Amino acid sequence: MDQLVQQLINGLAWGSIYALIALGYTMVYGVLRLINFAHGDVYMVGAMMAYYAAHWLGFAGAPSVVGFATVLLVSMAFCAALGALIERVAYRPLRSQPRMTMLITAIGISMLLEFGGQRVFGPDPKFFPQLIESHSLFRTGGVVFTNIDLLVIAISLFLMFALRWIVMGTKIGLALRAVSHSFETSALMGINVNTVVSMTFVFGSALAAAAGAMVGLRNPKIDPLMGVLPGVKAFVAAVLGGIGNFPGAVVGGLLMGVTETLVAAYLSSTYRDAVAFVILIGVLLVKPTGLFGKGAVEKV
Amino acid sequence: MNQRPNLIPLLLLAAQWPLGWLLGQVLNSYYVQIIVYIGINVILAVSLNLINGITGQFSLGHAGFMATGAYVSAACSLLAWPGLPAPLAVPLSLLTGGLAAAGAGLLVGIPTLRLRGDYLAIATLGFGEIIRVVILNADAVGGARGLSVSPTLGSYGFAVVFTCAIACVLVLWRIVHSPRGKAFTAVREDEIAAAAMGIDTTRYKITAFVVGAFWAGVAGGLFAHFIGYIHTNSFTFLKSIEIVVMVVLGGMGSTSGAILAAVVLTILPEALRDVAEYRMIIYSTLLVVMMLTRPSGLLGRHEITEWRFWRSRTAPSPLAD
Amino acid sequence: MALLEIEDCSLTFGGLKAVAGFRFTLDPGQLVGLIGPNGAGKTTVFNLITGVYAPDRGAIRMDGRSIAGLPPFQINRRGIARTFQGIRLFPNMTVLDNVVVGANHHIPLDALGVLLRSPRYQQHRLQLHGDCLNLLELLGIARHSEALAGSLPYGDQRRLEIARALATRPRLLLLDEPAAGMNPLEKVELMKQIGWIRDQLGLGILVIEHDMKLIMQICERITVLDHGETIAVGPPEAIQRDPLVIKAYLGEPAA
Repeated sequence: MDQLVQQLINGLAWGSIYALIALGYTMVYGVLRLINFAHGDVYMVGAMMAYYAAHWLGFAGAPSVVGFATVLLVSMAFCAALGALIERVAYRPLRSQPRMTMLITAIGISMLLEFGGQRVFGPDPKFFPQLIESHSLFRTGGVVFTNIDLLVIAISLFLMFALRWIVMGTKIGLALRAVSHSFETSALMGINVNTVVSMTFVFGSALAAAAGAMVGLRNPKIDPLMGVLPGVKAFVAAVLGGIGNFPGAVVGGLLMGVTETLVAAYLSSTYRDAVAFVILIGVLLVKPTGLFGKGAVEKV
Repeated sequence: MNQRPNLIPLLLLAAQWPLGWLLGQVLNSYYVQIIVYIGINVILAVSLNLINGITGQFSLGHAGFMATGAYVSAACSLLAWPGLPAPLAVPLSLLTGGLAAAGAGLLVGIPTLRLRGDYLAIATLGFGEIIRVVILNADAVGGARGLSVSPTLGSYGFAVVFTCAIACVLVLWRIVHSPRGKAFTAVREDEIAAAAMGIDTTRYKITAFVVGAFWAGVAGGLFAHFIGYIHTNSFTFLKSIEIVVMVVLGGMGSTSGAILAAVVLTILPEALRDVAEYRMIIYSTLLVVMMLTRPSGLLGRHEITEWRFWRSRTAPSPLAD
Repeated sequence: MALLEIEDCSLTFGGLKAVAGFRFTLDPGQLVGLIGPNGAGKTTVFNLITGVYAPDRGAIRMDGRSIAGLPPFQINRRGIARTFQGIRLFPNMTVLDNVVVGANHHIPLDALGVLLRSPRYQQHRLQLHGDCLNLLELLGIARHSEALAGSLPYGDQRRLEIARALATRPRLLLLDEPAAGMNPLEKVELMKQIGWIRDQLGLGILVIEHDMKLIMQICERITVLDHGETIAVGPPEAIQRDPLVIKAYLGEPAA
């Protein structure tokens, strides 16, 4: 029983990470109908930027909440800019092209970030500085719930609610929902779709960066290819929830995290990574629109 | 009417054997190896072009079919008929590998082909990875340690590979350019209209998948028997992407384009060997640049045999490509 | 037995009744028109007949056998061909190839012949191309046979759609606004061609059109739809004078 609770905590922590990344996928798919393959690698850049920021700003040696907060914000800002830049340079010129063209470009950008990252950051794993000292908040029997676990879940929740507030309660959020519904009509109604799309990438990339920085805190070994698997899993989570659907991305992310952790714990750890693909195939075959999605019908 | 339509193809096929011997005498084995890789990549690119380019079904899992062919053919050579002399065993293994891959194509195709566009791409990606993970966990064929393959093609590598490559191109070309074969293209152009004209689009899509997978399996088998050692690391998503890039560079739907691109993209990494650390960065940058500047690829949808292709090279056309 | 029989057919999308209680019969050799204001449900009727949609209620029968719910390709193989309101050609294929695709189901499957380019295969291919060129000739666009379908002028694209549909050897032809975008001279030519098709090939033809003159001149019978319901059926003279029809198109006269 203790095992189960501990694994659930693990699962929720990872699930929150997946949810943050999944939101980025879902947002971009909503406005551009593009599967942004490069998104998982933005998460990696987030972790790396946080690492470098910690060292350059001198927080690496001395754990402090302020230190982590600063590093988190720096990383989020940097990746937000990176995401917007990628969109502007690589995706925007291709809007009139068939969708496969953008998809292949996204794959190219992803490879560029990965291989470029190996060159720039060096291929060997780095150790993320312990910006916040881990101590257990709660310990009964075999279950340990640390302050870091709490931090990850809390910050994730905060960011998700912040996003929800933006999407539901602000003008830009309304514009975003309009563009997700119909790109052309929004443009005709006077919405600056370019700005909306840029902001989508800004928000999505910032969330991914936050996820990266938090993962650094919890699982300190980071390397330039660390975005590949979580990227795929978060994408599957978005599909599971219904790609284009925000609450779906969150639910999908949490489900993915919990399922994979439980499978690794109770079945076999070698199958941990396969869980994502099995879920993917299952969703696509049974209900491709996901848990919360609705399909679109083509007019004949 | 063409009185002897098979004369040139047969001559071409036969010529590969003396040619192979000649190349072995004249070139050092490093260059011969690159040429053999070109042959294997031609088969991969042309077979994927049938699925992605001609029939318009975006498959990102071609490496999975290649892996199936590689491992099944290797297993056959090692376990099913180990005593058989190589000239009998190898073709038999290649055929079996191809058929196994075709079966995989059927299994993957049937459920996924009712999905559209991005969803199909992702599903095929998923299946490609599942196939790889299953093989990785199959200790009977080496699993994580890889698998040594015997017999190997040795100095017959060029001849065998190019015989298969020519056969592949010939078969696919004749199918696609035949009257009934036009339906593959029609499915890509407008599936709803094709169905309204009596075409069983699902069956055509599955057929493209199965035929494409078969040849990918043959390519996998050739790869296995040429190198002599295979590991699932050779059949990852990256491999699928490399093949997709060949098809896109050549022009989606153009068989001659796919061949051209396979040649270019096999030679390019070797030419970039000097800057090996930057190789993948250059490759991915080129990919992005190509998509931004000429997404229709080298030949677009045309074949190098079409007058239309040459016309569009010289005169500015008022019509869209 | 009627070629096509539709009884009490209905289709609803969400809360919107696209077609309600539709009734219709057609015999071979009859040329019938289907008219109505925009959004009346005419194309939806076509989509129901050709299997794009399955009706919520009612029956659709061809030669007495039900075809409701069959997939589009099977309905075509039973003998119903159509053109589309917003032209759906295969734009990157040649004009000739577009028609060849239409003939697909009637080409024998000769795998060995295809692979070996046998004399028999080559013979059949020549014959097929000849037949397809004849169809193009019939519609007056044979000179374009090697051009890409997408590069054709609008009127010729519509004619190509008809040629392609005829290649499927239908017994019932559904034409969705075949004259849209044509000038008066072209429309006269088209009327002659449709008449010829009916006379020489013995097809049943159902036409959706907005050009009233064209419809009144060629159709023997006209069904009028409005908001998914049939408001009038009869010969052209009767339809022209029918007050309900006039109201549907022009509204009530000012009080």
